[in-house]
Amino acid sequence: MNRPSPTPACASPSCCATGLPVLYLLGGSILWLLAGLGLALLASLKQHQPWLLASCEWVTYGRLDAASRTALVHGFFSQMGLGLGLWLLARTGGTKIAAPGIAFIAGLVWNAVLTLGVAGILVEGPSGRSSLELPGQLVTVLTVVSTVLCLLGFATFAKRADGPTVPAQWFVLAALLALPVLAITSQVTLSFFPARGVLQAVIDGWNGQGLSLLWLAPLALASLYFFIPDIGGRPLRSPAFAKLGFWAWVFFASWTGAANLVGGPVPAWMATVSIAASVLLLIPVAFISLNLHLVAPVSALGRSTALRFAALSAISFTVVGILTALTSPRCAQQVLGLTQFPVAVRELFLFGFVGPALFAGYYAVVPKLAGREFPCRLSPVAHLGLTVIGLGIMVLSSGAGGWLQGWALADGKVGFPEVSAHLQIWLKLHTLGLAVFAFAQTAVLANSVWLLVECLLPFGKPALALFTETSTAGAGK
Amino acid sequence: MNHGPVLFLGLVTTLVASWTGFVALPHRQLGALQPDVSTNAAGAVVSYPAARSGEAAQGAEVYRSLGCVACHTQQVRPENGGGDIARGWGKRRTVARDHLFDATVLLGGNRLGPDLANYGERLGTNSFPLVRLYDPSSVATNSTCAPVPFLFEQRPIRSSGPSPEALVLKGTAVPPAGSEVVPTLRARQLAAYLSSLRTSVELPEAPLPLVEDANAPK
Ligand code: HEC
Repeated sequence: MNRPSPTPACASPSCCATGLPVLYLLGGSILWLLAGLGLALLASLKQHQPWLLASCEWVTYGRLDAASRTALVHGFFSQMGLGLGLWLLARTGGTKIAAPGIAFIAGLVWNAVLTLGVAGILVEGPSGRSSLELPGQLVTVLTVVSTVLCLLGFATFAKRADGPTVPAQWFVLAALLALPVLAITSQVTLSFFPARGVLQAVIDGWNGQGLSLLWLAPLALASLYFFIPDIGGRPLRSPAFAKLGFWAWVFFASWTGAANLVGGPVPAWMATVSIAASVLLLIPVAFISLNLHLVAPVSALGRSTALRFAALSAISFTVVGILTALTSPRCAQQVLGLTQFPVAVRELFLFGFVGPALFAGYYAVVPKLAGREFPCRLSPVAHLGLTVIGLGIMVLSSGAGGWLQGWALADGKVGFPEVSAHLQIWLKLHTLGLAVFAFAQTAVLANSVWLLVECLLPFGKPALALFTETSTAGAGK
Repeated sequence: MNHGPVLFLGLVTTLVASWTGFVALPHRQLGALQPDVSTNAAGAVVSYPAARSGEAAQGAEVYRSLGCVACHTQQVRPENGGGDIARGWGKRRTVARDHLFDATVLLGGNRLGPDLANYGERLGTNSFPLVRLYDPSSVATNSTCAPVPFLFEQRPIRSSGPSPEALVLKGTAVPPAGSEVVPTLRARQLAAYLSSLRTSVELPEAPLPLVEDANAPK
């Protein structure tokens, strides 16, 4: 699978064709990350301080919770993943993004709609569908825009130079195909012609699992599959492993739809199928983990921020895969389901695996597109360090709190006030972790803004030489 | 797998299969669900579930729009393993039919607060304590339930005398002399909805247990 990249995808700031829409999506996503975490922090505080801002209807707990999840998933994770995905398709295909102007406009509309949508959640309330809390009409626009962006991805892929495809491409394509299917289905069945009864919850669950496992996870894996060998300078050991891992992932992930409805009022077979798929997901997790960990260039970790984020992501990926397999079976769900425990797993998935994978791409791509390095060298170190500390506190407090909460709730003799009282300390610790985590992200915001200022000021430092040896190495060499 | 078409075909097949499994099949299985019609002890024909009354149905919208579902589930899980039934959250597990007429089904995914599937039954013959919405800690010590005082209006006591609806408040929550706190329409709708939450009706797929444990703790 060795082939030289025909042309560097984008070598100078003047090359806006790939640069502008990608930079726009990446930059916008950082703002959403901070906004989403701000909302999440307030929500987290209100879990144990219910009287905080209680007289204001807009910031009642349920609305903050829905608004923060929406801002993070649709504003940060999806947007950054999409920007990176498009860049990866252009880069691995040795071409430029198709119709960059349209991509840029679509990005603008995405952000405008999302801003209205998050405001709508705070002012009018969430839709009650946890995978899609935005007001109905706005979802329509978002569905159209995301479909357009996915189509541009396919068009970019179609323009690629001849030659074998690489794992990063497969994963991006899987994500770009899954998103429109999920978005259009949930749009039609939850918004245009709302399904009757618990069918709503089934489709909501399927959409939520799909957004996590078939949209965000493949984008994150694409980033890992590209940047770990690329920056580390070591090619993937086994392309066959990658292939198996890819297909097994797509197959099993697509059958986990009702994993969060175990024990709920849905047909039993659905829960059974989803449990089986969640456990079997361990197979692709093993393949992919081996694939990535084997090429892990430990010696190179010291010199690349991107690689350190990729390492955090790869480790979290393995852990969250094992944790999911262990806690999916019915006996575990009866105790741990509907508690804070799934919150911990989800946070590890989103902030431990997906986020750092995307940041690996962010730290690698932005300097190339902007034509200069990030100005502050200390900031990425603080970003990573505080991310690990904050995330650690968050996941451990939700995990331990949820574990105890689950066992207490399973015992009908323990009164609810007692369960609730014992949970308080864990909820408070979680707020602390979230605060550290959110603070960590201000490091990347500050560094990015500084970079932007340097780019815009005509008399900044001269642009650095681009495409030194590491960045010209092909993806799947 | 060096060819785009193979990749596409494979991915499309996988997605279509998943769509069939989690959208189309459930639609066939659940879409045909009808209320259960039976004859009660008095010989009258009853149909369960029944659509909610206007006020309670509007209250469901208030409940949705305030995001109460973030902390409250409405699904009693089966007896084996979980403590839901022993805890008194319901006499039987919740089944698909219970939510047949909910405009927005709010099963919930996190139990920071108690399950509410049968909250109306727990009220017994009492009417809903509206003060619970204004200040939950007045009914449950140290409650972390979200207070929604904005569903109430503080106004001067009218010349015709205090409103019969005015809340009886304690401690710091007491309004200044000469004014009273009364529920708005939305508070009354939400109360009607919460009181309407009850599922202890025998269904073929979810029989009620023979002996009821009247002393089950909440
Ligand atoms: C932050 C989480 C949280 C939110 C949000 C929340 N609640 Fe609660 N709720 C609780 C907790 C904890 C309890 C148990 C303490 C108590 O009885 O107040 C509770 C109890 C209740 C009870 C009494 C249940 C029983 O079995 O006696 C009702 C009714 C209730 N909540 C209604 C609501 C409504 C309506 C909303 C939306 C406005 C809401 N809750 C929002 C956490 C929450």
